[in-house]
Amino acid sequence: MRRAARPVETRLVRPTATIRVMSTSLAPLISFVPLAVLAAVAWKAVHPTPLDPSAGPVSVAEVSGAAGEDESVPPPAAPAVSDDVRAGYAELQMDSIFVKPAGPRGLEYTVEASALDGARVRLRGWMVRHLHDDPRIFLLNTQPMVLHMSEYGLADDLPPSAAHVILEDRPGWAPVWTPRPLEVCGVLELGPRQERDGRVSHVRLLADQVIDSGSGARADIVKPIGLQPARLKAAVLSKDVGADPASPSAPTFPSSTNPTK
Amino acid sequence: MKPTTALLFPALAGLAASVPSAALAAPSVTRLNPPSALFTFNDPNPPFIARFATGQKFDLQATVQADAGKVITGGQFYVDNNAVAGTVTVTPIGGDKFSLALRAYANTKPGVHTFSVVATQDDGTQASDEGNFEVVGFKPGGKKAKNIIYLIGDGMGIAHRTAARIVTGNVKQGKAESGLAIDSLPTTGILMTHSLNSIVTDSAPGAACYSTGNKSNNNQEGVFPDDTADKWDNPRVEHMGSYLARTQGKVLGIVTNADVEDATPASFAVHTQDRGAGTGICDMYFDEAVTKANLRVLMGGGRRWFLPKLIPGSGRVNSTTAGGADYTLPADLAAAWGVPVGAVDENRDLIADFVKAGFSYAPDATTLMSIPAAEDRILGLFHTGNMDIAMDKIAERRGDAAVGSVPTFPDQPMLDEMTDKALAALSKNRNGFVLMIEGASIDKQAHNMDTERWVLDTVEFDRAVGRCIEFMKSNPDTLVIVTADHECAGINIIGGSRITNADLVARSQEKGADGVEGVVNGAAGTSTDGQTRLRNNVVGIYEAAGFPQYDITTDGYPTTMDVDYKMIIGYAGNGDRYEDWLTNPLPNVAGNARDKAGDYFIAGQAAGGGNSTAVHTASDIPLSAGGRGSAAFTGVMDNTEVFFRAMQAAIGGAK
Repeated sequence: MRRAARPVETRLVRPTATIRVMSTSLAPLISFVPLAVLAAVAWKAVHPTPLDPSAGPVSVAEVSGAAGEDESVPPPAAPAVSDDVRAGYAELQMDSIFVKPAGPRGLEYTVEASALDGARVRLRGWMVRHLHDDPRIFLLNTQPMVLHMSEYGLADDLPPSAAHVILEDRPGWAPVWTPRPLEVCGVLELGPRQERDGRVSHVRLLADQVIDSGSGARADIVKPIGLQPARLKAAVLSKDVGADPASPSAPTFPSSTNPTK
Repeated sequence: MKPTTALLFPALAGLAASVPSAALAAPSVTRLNPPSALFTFNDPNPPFIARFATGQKFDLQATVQADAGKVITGGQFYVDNNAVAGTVTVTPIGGDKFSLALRAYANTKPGVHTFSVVATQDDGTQASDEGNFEVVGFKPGGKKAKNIIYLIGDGMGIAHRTAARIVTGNVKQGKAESGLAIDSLPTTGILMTHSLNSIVTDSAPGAACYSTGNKSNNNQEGVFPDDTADKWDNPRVEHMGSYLARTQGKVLGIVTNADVEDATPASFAVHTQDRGAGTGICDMYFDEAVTKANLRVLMGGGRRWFLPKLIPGSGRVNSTTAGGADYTLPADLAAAWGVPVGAVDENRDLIADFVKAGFSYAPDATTLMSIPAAEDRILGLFHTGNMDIAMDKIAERRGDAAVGSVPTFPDQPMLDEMTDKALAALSKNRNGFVLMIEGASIDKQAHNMDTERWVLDTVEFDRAVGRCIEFMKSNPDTLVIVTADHECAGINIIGGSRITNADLVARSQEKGADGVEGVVNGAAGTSTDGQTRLRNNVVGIYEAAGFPQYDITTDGYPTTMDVDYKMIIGYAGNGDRYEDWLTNPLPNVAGNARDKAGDYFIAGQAAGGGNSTAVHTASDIPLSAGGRGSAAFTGVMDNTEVFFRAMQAAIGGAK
């Protein structure tokens, strides 16, 4: 499998405000405090959320995770992504990743998709509303979709072309779920890989940036996942279905293939 | 669990009396399988939680908490105070706990039996406890049911059936011109659906009870709960398929329009505590069900589990993560049940294994229909995941827009077509068959509150019922049972639209009274207020509901679900959704991400699942039956009772 070196010069997604704060006042602590915690503290310093008591009354929608909340709480202002940046990524339609119709056995990558394996591409789609076991990952699909691991486990309707978007550098951080389409730029990676939730991904995008297609603004890194009720509500609730947490063979991270419904 | 009871045997009582005071924290039995009210609540009275057909195999298992740092070195199971022959395997499971198991036990004496376990710690102290189970015998007499057909409309409550009848039955002047195929079955019963650990079941124990006669925890298929994380070591209960293959030489068929690893199909052949363990579940179809249950027909989606990992679209995984799902069985289990131990092999070509075993493989409807009539083994895998929904398959056949994954899998069979091929293959066995046919997306689309899609999937399911009734008429030694595993979404028909479709379409594009597409709870200054446009003066109740009329074409499905004055559905187990009452152009779009232009938001009552999905309910469900032995399926009964009445028909016979 080919994989191009990541184009550092185009990695505009790094939360510049966060990095700036860290680089000046918090950098000495980096070796002692988990990066995600530092990042959360720094981010909250420059973007107080409705969950921050100092930010005033808590939004009902924010707490409840009700529909529309993500539109009601505009993400922090982010610069629009210029066309010049987009131009650095080849556009690939998600519908064009696999040959249609499928053959009698497995699927087959299109010539176009195969040629872009390892290259910088843009995919347009919708963030699937679910919480992946791996906090670096969200799923991008050709249409809006809700995925209830808690209902179906892996017997689902997720199309094979759904991409695993990997925000490799920022575990624990991700864009909030939004009903609006997204444009994701990054390095395309094709081929099977077993993910932490038991799913096998065949299409991955090592994301450099996530763009809100509506506003054209960068959409990534607005919240730690721990402060995203909309995503968390779609998560599997940890539930003992017979497993003994004290057992030495018990997993040390949540399994979403033990559905609770 | 109740406190440890007094020791059961005089010799042991004497031993306990000699235990020094330091051993007051004596080892104790914390779980005893099969489950019983006697063990858990010290209640010896009915209802008996675990019941088995005469000779049906099951595992005896106990979890014993040892004293700190101590080891349980052995144990003995007793039934009716008689030591059970066989090896008791003691397995440490962490936290000074030990699992004791005696596998593949069977009892042929009808009646209630008390059983107990005595476990011995390495310092000589012992723990014991008791439970009970019932063995159900069958009265001989009459003619036996040679073939048993279960049709399970997943999530199909009474209202799902009513809605499908209103769409297809031309209801007017208070009567349906034509009923559903289900309606023609002569016997009706009501089932209680609770699982072992909840009033609200999921599909795994909700379906497995029909195959095993027993309750299990949610997510579990063909097993009782234990105390280990291992998905495959739980105490087993023999499935109807393998029980009747072993005792009568019947063959087994499983047909679904879901992924074949999904809970309902797997609950008829697989033993696991994890309904999501797709790789191992599908391996077990081949490794165990083909040989032990004479599995001869397996059809549905889920091709991903049958493809080696390197083939794009494969879903096979190994066990390197918590989600890993291939398997190796404990040696004592494999030996006692006479099954392979399994293998960790993500590169297994399971399609090739089935073909080598004589199965004809069909990846699409055209191939399925071309399988020669003489073939008696069919593997049909028409999709990598769940098959597409009836509405979208029909649209493709009519030349309408292809949505969902239909463009990738455009040639998927309908459930009645799969049913015909299954019946043809299975009926070649002169000893008869057990066939489970599932209408899976009734549930899946009800979860998503996509009214038109679950209604048409119910119609698709009913057409499969019709094919089985035709078979039953020409093969009167056949028992047909149509039911569900649980109700889904708290569905009911609350009325009919008071306006034309054109008016509804117009209103679906207008905002509420404030002319703004709002958000919930006024978080940004505007609220959803489309109810003034899409509820008031739209939802007709009582006589204002009238009689919605649908035009059914030659393919058996309505020309459109968006008729004037259409049927209106409500959801009592609902998640958040926007509603405009119109057919959703795309499947599987979240209820709170569609239909927003009408600005009519309905807040969900069901927490979980992202607050955007409806949930199963604990409502009783209907059962309809016909054919040999069907007269017994009347009254209100526990869902496990269906197994025993079917076994009466198959083993004892029916007049």
